[in-house]
Amino acid sequence: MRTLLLSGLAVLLLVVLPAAAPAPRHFELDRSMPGADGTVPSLSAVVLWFTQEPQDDATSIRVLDASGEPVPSEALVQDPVDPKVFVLPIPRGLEPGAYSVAWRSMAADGHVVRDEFSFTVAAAR
Amino acid sequence: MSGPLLPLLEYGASWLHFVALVTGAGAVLGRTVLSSGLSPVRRDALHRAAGRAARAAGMLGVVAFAAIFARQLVEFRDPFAPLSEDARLLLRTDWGAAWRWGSVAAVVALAGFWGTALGTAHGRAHGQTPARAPGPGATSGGSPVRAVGWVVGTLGLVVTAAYPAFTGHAAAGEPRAVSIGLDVLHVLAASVWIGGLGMVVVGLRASGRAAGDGASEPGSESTTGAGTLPADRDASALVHAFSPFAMAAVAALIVSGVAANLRMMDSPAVLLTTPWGRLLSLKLFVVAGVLALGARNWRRLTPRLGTPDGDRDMTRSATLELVLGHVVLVVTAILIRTSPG
Repeated sequence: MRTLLLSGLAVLLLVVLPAAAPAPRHFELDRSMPGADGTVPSLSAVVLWFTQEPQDDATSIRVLDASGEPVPSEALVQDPVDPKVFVLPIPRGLEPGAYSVAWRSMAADGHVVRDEFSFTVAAAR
Repeated sequence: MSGPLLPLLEYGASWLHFVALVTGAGAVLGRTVLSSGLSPVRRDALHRAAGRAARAAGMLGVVAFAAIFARQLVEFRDPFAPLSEDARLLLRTDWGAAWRWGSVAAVVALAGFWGTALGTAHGRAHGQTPARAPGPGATSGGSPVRAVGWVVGTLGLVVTAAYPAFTGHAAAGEPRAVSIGLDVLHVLAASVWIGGLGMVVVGLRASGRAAGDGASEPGSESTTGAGTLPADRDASALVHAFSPFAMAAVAALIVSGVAANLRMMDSPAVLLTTPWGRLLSLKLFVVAGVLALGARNWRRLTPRLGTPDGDRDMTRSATLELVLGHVVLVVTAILIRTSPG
């Protein structure tokens, strides 16, 4: 009985392990435009690139002003070509000053990931 | 998440679900295979214990799914959107779809397992005498309502066992079918092993109490060096009925666990260098302890079953094995909420 079980275990491992390819990198923010702590002369949209495609309807991006209030923006757009990319249009642009981007999304494995970063819109010279 | 109660919700919801799964699986095993070789009185006692465990598992499962939704909603919360909008959005995600069918299955399991109690009440109300159960609340016998309840409850339980695979690390693996299949196998095997062990411990402790009261079945006494003591063939029957399931479950656990975790590791170094790796190392350490204890139980204590000392030692050792098994569940509940990256 024990020999049979050990043999079965060995066969199963031989069958299953070749299929055990490493998992892709975990879901996180890869880069953004504007970049974290960056300074831009003006801004008409925030773009986030994630490392993986998030779950549908799970991503939210807010641009917050220095007092923490959200600035007006249009609906979030997911890039139809690269679904890891999200664009938040800000049609009226931003006044010079300090801002932050607060984002939230959900990975394929159900983990909710959220973070925020700051950027500055420089005063025009 | 922040605040003292939120970490409890973070890990407690998953842990509660695992406890529901192992308790339900143990109840089903106790009701079916584990009780098959027991004397009629002990069989009925184990059936009653299995019925109580199944109903508890059904309730725990529903509470766990409610807690899981609450946890996800707290994490998902957008402070600038209404709570109702967040809840609606959450249900539209893949996670939400998995949660919907998981929670429906949990309710089905609850209804099925509580139907086993209704079956008992129905049978008594119509003057049916339980086949072998002399006491009130007995769950043995052949009520069709009860039988259907067990089948429905078991089906619901099996479906909820698939839920962690569709909402955890396995859901992000490739190929997805292999990744999810391994995870479902892992959860089911763990449920059979720890749940079955739980029912064995319940049976062994009941046998020990009965032996202490001198309530063994006629013909089950043996003479030992300490004089005539009540021996218990039921303890041996219980352990031998569980052993094939335990061995098959452990084999499935090792195969699925090794393969699933290798898929998430870039190198063995992560076992020591990342929080996820260190938690996995802790889990492997405790699992090794449980396996060693289980092997000892099988090789050294099983041959001594039927003697008072042997039964007592097996009860103690199996109880320790069960406690360690539940420690593994706690560590796993934290592990699955930790990013492997």
